[in-house]
Amino acid sequence: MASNDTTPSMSKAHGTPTVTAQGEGPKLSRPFLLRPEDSCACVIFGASGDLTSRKLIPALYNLACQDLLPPGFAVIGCANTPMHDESFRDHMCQRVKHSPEVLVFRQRLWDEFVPALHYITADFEDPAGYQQLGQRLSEMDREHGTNSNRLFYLATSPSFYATIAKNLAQHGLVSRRSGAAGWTRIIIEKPFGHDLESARRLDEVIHTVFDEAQVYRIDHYLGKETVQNLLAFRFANAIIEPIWNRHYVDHVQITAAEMLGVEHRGKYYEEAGCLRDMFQNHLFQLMALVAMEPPVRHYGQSVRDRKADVLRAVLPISAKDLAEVAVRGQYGPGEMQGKPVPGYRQEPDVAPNSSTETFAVLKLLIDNWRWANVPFYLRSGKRLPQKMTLIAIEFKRVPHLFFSETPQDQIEPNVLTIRIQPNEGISLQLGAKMPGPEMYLRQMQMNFSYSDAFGEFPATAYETLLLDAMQGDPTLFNRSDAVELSWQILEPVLEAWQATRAGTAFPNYAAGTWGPVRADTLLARDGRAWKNATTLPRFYVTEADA
Amino acid sequence: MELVVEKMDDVTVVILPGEELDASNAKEFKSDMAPLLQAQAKVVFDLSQLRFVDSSGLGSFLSCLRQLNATGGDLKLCGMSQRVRALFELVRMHRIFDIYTTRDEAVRAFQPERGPQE
Repeated sequence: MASNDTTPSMSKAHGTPTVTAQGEGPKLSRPFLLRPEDSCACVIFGASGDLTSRKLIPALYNLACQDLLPPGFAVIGCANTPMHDESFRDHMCQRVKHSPEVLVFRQRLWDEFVPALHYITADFEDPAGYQQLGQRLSEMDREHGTNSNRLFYLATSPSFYATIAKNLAQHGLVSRRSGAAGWTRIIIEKPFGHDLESARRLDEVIHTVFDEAQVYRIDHYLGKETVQNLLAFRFANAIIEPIWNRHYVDHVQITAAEMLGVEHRGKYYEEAGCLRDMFQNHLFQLMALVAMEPPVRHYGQSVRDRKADVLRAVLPISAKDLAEVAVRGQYGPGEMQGKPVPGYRQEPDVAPNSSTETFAVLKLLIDNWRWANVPFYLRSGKRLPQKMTLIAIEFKRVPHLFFSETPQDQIEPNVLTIRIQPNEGISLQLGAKMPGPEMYLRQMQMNFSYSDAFGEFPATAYETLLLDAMQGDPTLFNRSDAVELSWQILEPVLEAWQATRAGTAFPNYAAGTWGPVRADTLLARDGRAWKNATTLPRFYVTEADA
Repeated sequence: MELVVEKMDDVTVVILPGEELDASNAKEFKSDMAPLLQAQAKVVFDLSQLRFVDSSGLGSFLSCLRQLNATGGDLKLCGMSQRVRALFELVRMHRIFDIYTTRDEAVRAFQPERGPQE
C-alpha cells in the first residue's frame, strides 16, 4: 500500500468529555466532535444538483456553525450548469435558508461561511475543466490556506465516476501519498456499480488512480445517529451481548418502508429497482451492523472487517430456492392518506409495461456460529402505508407458561424494535401483569426516545461523514470488498428477475398497502409475521412523515 | 414549569426558574414556551438561575430559536454561569446563539445598531 493515509489524522473524531463543577449536579457525558486539524479544499462534482443544495452545503454550513470546519477550508462546486461564485453562493443561500436540516439559519454565520464557496462551470469530459480546476485549487491554497489537501466528492450521475477519476489523475490533481504534497481523498456516492461486474470494473478504474485507503464510498444511512447507535447499543451494554445470538433470537426483520412513490426519479429507478436502490447498500449495512462480531476498536478497519465478515457469511441464494426466499412487487394505483395516487407504470419516465420492482423481500441466512438458522428478513418498498426504517429482533418464546388465566397464544415473544427513522429510538416489548385480581398478562413497551433523551438536533447525517472523510477516518464508509460482497449476494436474484419479466403479474400491490400477499405468506410459512402498523405500538404516525 | 415572564420595551424576557434543564423537564419547557414564541418576536432567556443543562435542554433552546427564526423573530441568551457556558462551548452551540452577560445587554441588542457582544 503506497499511501500512509490509513489512520485518522487524530486519535478519533469523537470523544467523551466529562465536564463537572465540584459537587454540582449531574455531569454531561455526550459525544462531541473535534475540528479537523488538516486544512483542505472540497471539490464537489455535480454541484448544481439536488444533493449538493439539499444535503452537502447544509451539512457544511452546520459544521461551520459549530466551528467544525478545518482551519483552512474551501469548497469548489463543479458542474456544467453555467454559474459563477456569486450566483452559486446566492443559490445555496436560498436553499440553506429554507432547509429543515440546518441547525438554524443565522446571517452572521452564513456571512462567515460563504466566502469559502466557489464554483467553476465545467464539462466532466472536457480536459479544459480539469485545467481550470487545477488553477482554482492553487488559488484556494493561496487564499484559504488549504495546503494542497483535496477532498473530491462525486455527486454526479454514476456514469461519470470513472471519467472524473481518470481525468483527475491525468491532470495531476491526485496525490497518492500524504505528506508535503498534501493528501487526496475521494468520496463516491451510491450506487457503486449496477451489478457485480460493473462494480468490479469501476473499482479497477478507481484503483488505478487511488489507493483503497483514499476511497470513501458513502452511504448516508451510516451517518445517522440511530445507525451509529447500533454499535453503542450492542457493545456498550453488557446485558445485550449474551442474548444476541441463535440461542435467544428467533429471527430479525429489517424494514425500510417509504410512503413516497418514485416521484421525479423514474428514469433512474427504471434502471435500478428496489434491490439495487435499497438492499445493496442501506439494508445490507444495517444487517451487517446487527449481525457483526465485536470489533477491536471503533476506527480504521476493525468495524469494516467485522461487517465484511457478515456479508461473507450470507448463504448464497440459489435459483431453485428463489420463490421461497425472495418476493418482488410493484405498486399499482391506490390511495395514500385518502388521496388517489397513480401506479408505478403511470409515473413519469416509467415504461407502461415496466418489470422494475418497487418492493422486495429477501430471507437471508448468515452461516456462522452466532447466527446459524436465524433468518434475517429484509423488506423495502415504495408507496407503503408508513414511512419507517426499523430493525425488529424477535426473541424466542418462553419454554413454559404457568399463567393459566392467559391463553398461551396471547403471550407474545419479546421484541426489540430499533427505530432508525422516524421517531428514532428503541423499544422492548415485554409481557406484564394487568392490574386486577386475576393474573392476566398483556404486552407493554419499554421505550427510549431519542428526542426525549437528547433533544432534537437537526442534522443531515452528512456532517459526520464529511467530517470523518476530512479526518481520514473510513469507519463509516463502505470498503471495496463489502460492496463486492453485497453485489454477490444480490446477483442471483437480479439475474433471475431480469430473466423472467414480471409482465402481467405486476402490479401486485395497491399503493398504500403493505406490499404483495406473497410477502406475508413468505413469513407465514415460517410461522412468523411482519411487524407492521397493527403490530407496532403507537410510535409511528402516518401523517406528516411523507 | 412556572416561567417568569417580564416585558422590557418590546422584548419578552423569560427567566428560567429551575437550576436544571435536562431530559426530565426539557420537553415540558418546550411545550410551555410554544404559545409564547408564537406571540412574541423578540425573546431573551435569562439563565442566571440555571446551574446545569444537558443536551435535551440545549435541544429545547435550539428548538425555540428555530421557531422564532422561522417567523422572523430572534432569541438571545443572558446570565449564563461559567459552567453552563462551558457546556454550550463543549457541544459547540455557543456560536449559534447570541449570548450576553446581562439581561440589559441582551435586551439592548435587539436595537438594530447593536450586535452580539461575544
